[in-house]
Amino acid sequence: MSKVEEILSELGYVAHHPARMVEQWKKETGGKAVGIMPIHCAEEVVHAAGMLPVGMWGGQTSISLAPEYLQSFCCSIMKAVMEFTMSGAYKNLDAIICPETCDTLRVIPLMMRKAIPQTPIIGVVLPDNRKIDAGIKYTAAEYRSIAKQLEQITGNPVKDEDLQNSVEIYNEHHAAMMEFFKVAVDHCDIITPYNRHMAIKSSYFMPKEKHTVLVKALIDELNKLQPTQFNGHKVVVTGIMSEPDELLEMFEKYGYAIVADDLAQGSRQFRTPAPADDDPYIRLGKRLANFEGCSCVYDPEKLRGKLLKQLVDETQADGVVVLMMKFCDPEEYDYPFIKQDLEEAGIPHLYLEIEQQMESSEQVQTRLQAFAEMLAERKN
Amino acid sequence: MTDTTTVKAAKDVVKELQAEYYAEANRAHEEGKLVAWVTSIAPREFLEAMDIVTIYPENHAAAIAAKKGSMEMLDIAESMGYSMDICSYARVNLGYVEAGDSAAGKVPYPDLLFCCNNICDTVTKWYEILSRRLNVPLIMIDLPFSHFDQPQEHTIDYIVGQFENAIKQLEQITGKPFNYEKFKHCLELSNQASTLWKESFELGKNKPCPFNGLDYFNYMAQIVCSRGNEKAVYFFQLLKDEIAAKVAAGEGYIQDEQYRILWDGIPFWYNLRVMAKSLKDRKAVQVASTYTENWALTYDTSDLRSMAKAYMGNFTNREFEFRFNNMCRIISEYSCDGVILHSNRSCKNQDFAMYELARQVTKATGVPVAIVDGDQDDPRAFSEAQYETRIQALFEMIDQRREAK
Repeated sequence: MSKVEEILSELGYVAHHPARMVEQWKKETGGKAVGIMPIHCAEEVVHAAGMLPVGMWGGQTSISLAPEYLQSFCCSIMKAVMEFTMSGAYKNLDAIICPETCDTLRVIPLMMRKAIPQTPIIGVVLPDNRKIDAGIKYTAAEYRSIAKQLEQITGNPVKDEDLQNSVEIYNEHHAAMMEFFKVAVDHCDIITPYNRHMAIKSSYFMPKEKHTVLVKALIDELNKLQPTQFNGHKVVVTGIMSEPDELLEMFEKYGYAIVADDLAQGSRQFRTPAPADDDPYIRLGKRLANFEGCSCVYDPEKLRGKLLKQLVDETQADGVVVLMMKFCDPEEYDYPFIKQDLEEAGIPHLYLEIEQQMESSEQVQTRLQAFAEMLAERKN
Repeated sequence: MTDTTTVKAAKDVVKELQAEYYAEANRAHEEGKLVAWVTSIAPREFLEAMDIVTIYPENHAAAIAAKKGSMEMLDIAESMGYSMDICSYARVNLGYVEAGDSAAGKVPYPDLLFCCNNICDTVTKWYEILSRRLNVPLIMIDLPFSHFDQPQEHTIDYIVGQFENAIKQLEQITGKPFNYEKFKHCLELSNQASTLWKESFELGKNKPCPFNGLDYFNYMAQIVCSRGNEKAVYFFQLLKDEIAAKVAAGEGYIQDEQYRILWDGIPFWYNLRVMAKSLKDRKAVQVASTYTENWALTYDTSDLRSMAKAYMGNFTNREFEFRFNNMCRIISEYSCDGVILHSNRSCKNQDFAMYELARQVTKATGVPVAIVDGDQDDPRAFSEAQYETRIQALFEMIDQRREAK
């Protein structure tokens, strides 16, 4: 096994074994673990409290318990989260933080409080008016409030200097991820859509400083190799996430490489660093103020289409695949302008409706195949 | 202004006021006034103070559906790529933006947008789209969802900061200084109207219930569109007097009423007839609704912090215990025999707490609950036969409970 393969294998293992990772971390450190629901929540506060932040973006499961709370038209990610909540899959989490992301995520934390009353469910509501002074201060105050609630669980104060340190660790991690995405473009044969996703997903289940070490080692190893010419279809993906795994396998099967992403679970978490400030909470507020292009963050200018065009230009991509998570309101509202912006820029795009639990993949296969053929024709 | 010398029925007056309101709105641009498109529970007092004419896309979308015109608008929006899964008010309005006319007539296009997300996050996305599509400024009033019984001080600070920011934006857009004197007057009128509105629907506690609660879905237009000016005060005084006279005379909407029902959620605007008939046939009356209670907004008019708290306090912006206690309170105060919850495809914010709410409310009060599937504006999501079956089951449960007593 090459060094690259070793690292990828480790990242894949972590991505597929969140429960084991939490157990292992607790055993090694004696610390506590905190679940973090999608989409935007500064994990740094949890990190500074000496706890392990654990991403809660659903997963592969059959849905049998969740309908006790949720109608059929709830998104598949939150159905899976509710299923895991009720089945006891989150029993090792000492608290769960729920950012108010959309109408569905207004209510899910309320239902979690009913389903698992023994686990503290901490709500965080980030501002729409995130750029005005009152908004930045409010973001900071929301995170301070989280810190206070975490202090009650650990019994230890969250010190400002610890949070400053955590913000630095996260800035470094996010920069490493963005660097990895760049380097990966020259190695599409190795960093397949699946491997790329594993690199992202694993970051949700281990301390970021450790993940940074792995990602930097991966970058170093890739840089030692000759860049490879990729003859398939280079695409930018946009949406909430690129799951399930079989979806990514289909990307590979039909000759796609993902050369950049605008996924809520991917680059949207990494692309905006926290700027400097004496107050670490204000740093987190300013990061939210500077961040652009997410369906779940207020944007009256609707910049996402422009941002996608920029990503396509930078990576010389052949097109964009819109991974539309069925029943995701924010993404569904964004789509028509994305479509318009891409069409005006002459960038081909594929609208692919996905669910985390895909009952049938045939339609997705057919559409990916047809889009690949269309892209191939354009090149000729 | 409507003739006030003879006492007319509130039902007729509200029709006249609405007709006047739309006529005035459609003249606004000729008269050099600015038009804002506004969400239904936004603090419109800021706009009233600046003589800005307010249009409510939610109300207009409801009116379009009531006139059986929603499918035409939905088709336009869906052909643009808007998913069938998003709110049908938004789809109807986005369709209207392209069509420029509707079964419920025209409304003037906006010069600005005024969005308040206390009702849901959907409006934020919808108004972002309007801002870009119509190239007009958007004033966003973000009233954060509350996970606590009482809002936190830092949240109130943020809201007051936004109010101050909105005032600056309004000054920029209108080119005039903010009219604090008129604003103060609007706040007072707004509180008067809200108080009268609340006092009028609270008369529904009487037995027999003096009104058909479904009529409140029409009266609502005035509390939404005119809260903060004299018209709303005039209308709700008239409405309250009318209902109080009925109570004094012992008159009921159904004299020998057999069942008292609480309705939760937005109605099926395209099929109010079915809702009305299924109740009336059983001598049942809708005595209360969680929806209409949202506009019972009162606050200290000398304190923006108090106003901020009032506007963030509607139940869809609050945690579960509030929603639960609120529903139990209404059931008790209005002596309800049954509850109908609308599992509305457009309203995920209410839907995903509904199954638990139904369980808990029945457990706490013993009152049977029916969950009916549908949608506020999209008739494709509604089946009359299924609705009737659920309603039938509800009344059977109510009868069984009575027999068991």
